[in-house]
Amino acid sequence: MFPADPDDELSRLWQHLLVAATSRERARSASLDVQASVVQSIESSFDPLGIGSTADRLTRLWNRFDELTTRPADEALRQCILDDAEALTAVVRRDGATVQKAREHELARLRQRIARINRLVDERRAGTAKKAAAERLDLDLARLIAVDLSGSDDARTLLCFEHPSVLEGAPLSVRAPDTERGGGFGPERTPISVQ
Amino acid sequence: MLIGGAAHGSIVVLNETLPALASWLRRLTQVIVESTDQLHQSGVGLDSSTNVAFFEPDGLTPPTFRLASGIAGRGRRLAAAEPTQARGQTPVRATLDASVAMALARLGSQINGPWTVLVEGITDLGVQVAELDAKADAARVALRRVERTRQDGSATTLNRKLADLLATQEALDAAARMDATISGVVDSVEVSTGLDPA
Repeated sequence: MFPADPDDELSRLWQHLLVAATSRERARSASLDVQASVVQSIESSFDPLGIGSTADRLTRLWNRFDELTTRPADEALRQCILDDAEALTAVVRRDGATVQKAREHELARLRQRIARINRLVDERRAGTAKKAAAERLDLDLARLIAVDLSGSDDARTLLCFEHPSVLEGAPLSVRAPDTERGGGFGPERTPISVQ
Repeated sequence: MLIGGAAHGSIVVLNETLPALASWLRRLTQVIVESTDQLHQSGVGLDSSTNVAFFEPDGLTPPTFRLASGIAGRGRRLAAAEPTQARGQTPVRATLDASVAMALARLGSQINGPWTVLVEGITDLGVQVAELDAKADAARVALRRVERTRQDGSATTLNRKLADLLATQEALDAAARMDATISGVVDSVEVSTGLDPA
């Protein structure tokens, strides 16, 4: 039997390193893209310095109180103050609803992602895919989730899937993200199970 | 531990980003309600009413933030003045007194008041957007680079790859040196002639 060609060995190692690096960069990029898109959309919805924003409404209310110092008995001005205060409460409620909607939307997306992860894990475990197809599955999976199992058991407490992990062959126990109950701003938190 | 992927991004958003924003909005609402009510309740309205809340005192969260029912649509109950009260008598107001209205107007410049909380939150959000934008851009560039290398890599040997890498690096270094030299020359021309090439 001939020894393996060292150049082939190096090429295999090189390919392995490239696949690992691609997986890592895909995972990092996908996570950051999700986070960036959510905060961008919230910032754009809040429009923090725009007309009609919370900052604008607060400033108007305080300016009205300032006017009242010169005309304390002006009943029309008093009504304007109450109208401005109503407008302020409405914009704060709107901002709160924006955050709540973003939470519901992201939770729905997470459920979809977990379902997709589970399908990919199933396909990968079935082991019928050829090397290139398996590599593609791994990269697709990396875009959805990357777990470092070298350090601790944290993976089990962070996210759990019903399916065994491709990475270590052990069940990944997955805790769903905490979400707040009720109107979304109460102190109570309750775990949501992700099937 | 979970280190990446879109699911990781969702979980960070759900467990950290959005709760932090919700918490900031709660804090903002609370400070607006408490600081306004504290001042307003100390004043007297045109109808001699006192101890009237401006915002609903229990509405300390965004969904429950409301104008107090005791004042909604009743502008005369708005307290602009401090009560001047003789012992055992009905509170009255000095006609030209507007000291409570002035204190309410100054809430905007109160340290650790509503404006401070608002600006802190807006600034944090802005910084977060800029930081995540920059990181996401950098990650996309890194991903494109590694994917291109991976696609090219299958057709060549490692030796060839390393040689290509070194050649590319040398070319980049040379380009950078050339760029610096050109910039230096342009600066010198500007200084010596006093001309702006642009």
